Amino acid sequence: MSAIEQGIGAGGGRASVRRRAGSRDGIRRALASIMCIGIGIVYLLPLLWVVTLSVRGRTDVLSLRVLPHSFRPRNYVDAFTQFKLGTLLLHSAFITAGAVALSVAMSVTAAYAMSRWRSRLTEGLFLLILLGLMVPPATMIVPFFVVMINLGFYNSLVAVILGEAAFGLPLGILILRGYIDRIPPELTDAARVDGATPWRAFRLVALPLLRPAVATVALFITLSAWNDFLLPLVLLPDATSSTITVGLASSVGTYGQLQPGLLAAASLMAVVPVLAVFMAARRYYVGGLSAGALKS
Amino acid sequence: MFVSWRVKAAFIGPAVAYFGVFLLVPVLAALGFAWTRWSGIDLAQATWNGTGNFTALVSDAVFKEALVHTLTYVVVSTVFVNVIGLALALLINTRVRGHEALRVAMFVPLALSPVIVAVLWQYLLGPYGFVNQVLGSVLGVTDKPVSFLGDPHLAFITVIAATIWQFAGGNMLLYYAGLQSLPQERMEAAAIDGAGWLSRLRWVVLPHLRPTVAVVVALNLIGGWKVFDLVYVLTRGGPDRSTEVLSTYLYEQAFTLNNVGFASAIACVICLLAVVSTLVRRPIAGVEY
Repeated sequence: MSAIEQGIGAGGGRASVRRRAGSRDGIRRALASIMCIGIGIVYLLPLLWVVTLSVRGRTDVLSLRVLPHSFRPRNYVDAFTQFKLGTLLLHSAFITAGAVALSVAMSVTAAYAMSRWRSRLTEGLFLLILLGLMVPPATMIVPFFVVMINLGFYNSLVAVILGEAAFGLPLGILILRGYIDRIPPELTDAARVDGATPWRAFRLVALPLLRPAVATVALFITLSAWNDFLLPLVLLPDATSSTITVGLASSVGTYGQLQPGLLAAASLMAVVPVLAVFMAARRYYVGGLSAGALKS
Repeated sequence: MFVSWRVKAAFIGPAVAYFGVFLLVPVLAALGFAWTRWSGIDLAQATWNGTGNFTALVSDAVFKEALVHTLTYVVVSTVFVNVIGLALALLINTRVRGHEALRVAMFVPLALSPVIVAVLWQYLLGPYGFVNQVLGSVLGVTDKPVSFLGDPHLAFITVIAATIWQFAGGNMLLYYAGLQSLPQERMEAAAIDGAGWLSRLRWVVLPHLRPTVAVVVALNLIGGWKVFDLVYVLTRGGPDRSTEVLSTYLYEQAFTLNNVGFASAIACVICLLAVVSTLVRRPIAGVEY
């Protein structure tokens, strides 16, 4: 508890800590450091342990020894071919790219209009679309499935893209509208005075300024589309040529007990692309998280 | 600056139409299907069932179990992610050496699909998983592996623990952001007045964070009703329905048993819970909000 006490004491400022610097304080800070590192390591244990599992040989995976006694990196190659990860990853990437493009394009224009041309109508539409943030996917999955079958999109990646984009739209509009509100309208008005159409003013003046917000929205939709399970599970009947999440879940169900090493390797390969994107773009994540939280 | 309504419609129209067709109409349709008896696909075969699905729901033992599990799951995991998230936010707010490492570590699970989380935890807790390795060969307290996912109580606890593991980091980030706006002077004034860390937490930090707590709890509740993937992959609602939640039961009814009407009645209940949970914000935030 001393570390938490320290957190309240410091309150985010270094100056006060320095002023009160004493040996007791030094010990507290050392303890807080140890807690940070310790909790961090414990926190990543599930992932780290699966990394060790992924390189164990066939007999070593079924042992009670914590550390591996074999090293078999070939698990990764075998898992990649056996579970057709190439196809699965490609499908996930295609769906993610499609969903990001579709929902960013629609939400950035709508958010711009809802920010700039406020009326009771646009405000009402904004609040209506925000309701979409609350919808648990399971509640709309049956009618969505029926519509896709009747449109002939069943067993097509397009159906999954359409669904993921629909889930991405409300968050996109929320984040982007909040951001556009903070851009002075004088900038686009100046372009209009110089003879630009509303579209050109948006396209050439506003849009370049929106890049960080667009990055935030793209990151959130990338995460939700890449990681989603329910839509591809329902809309793509063949698990072996579905997305990485459905393919992996199905392989775990079938081979999970027989080949833990291979499935551990497959899971890690499924994580690496999205984790890399996430870590590279994580500064955009916090902004979106609090935008979603702090607006009503 | 004058803009014609046509231009405005061109900007807003696509998003509104898309939202209507692919999100609003499906949700409303689900609310409508709840009053029918229907096996799916061909709408011509649907017959009116009145309140039949809802009366069936009320007397359905599995539904009752799923409802209790869902409520317990959402409330317990919300409480824990908030307590842990706040404690860790206070810890990294010390800005001691290593706080950045903890922040990054807490980020990682946020990027993972619940499917991956389920796979990780399945192996972590499996008969030859890390936990049984430690219990069996390092500590030697068990002579045969503990079956975490085979025991009804342990399976339910595991589902909640995996959820807390995945989402505590998000709450930590939000509380950390909330702590940044806490005026340093207020903390120092309280310290000079002789307030210990516990009373500073109680009388300075928590009142300041009250609006943050309100939104974070609302977000957690709304997110909680969305649970499906984790349970579906980790336990399939088992063993013996002990981890069945509303969404997995809905899936079974709709896609395994083709009871679309009954499944849609479950969808109505989930919708209702999601809507009701947004009402918690005001009382938590207090009068000034």
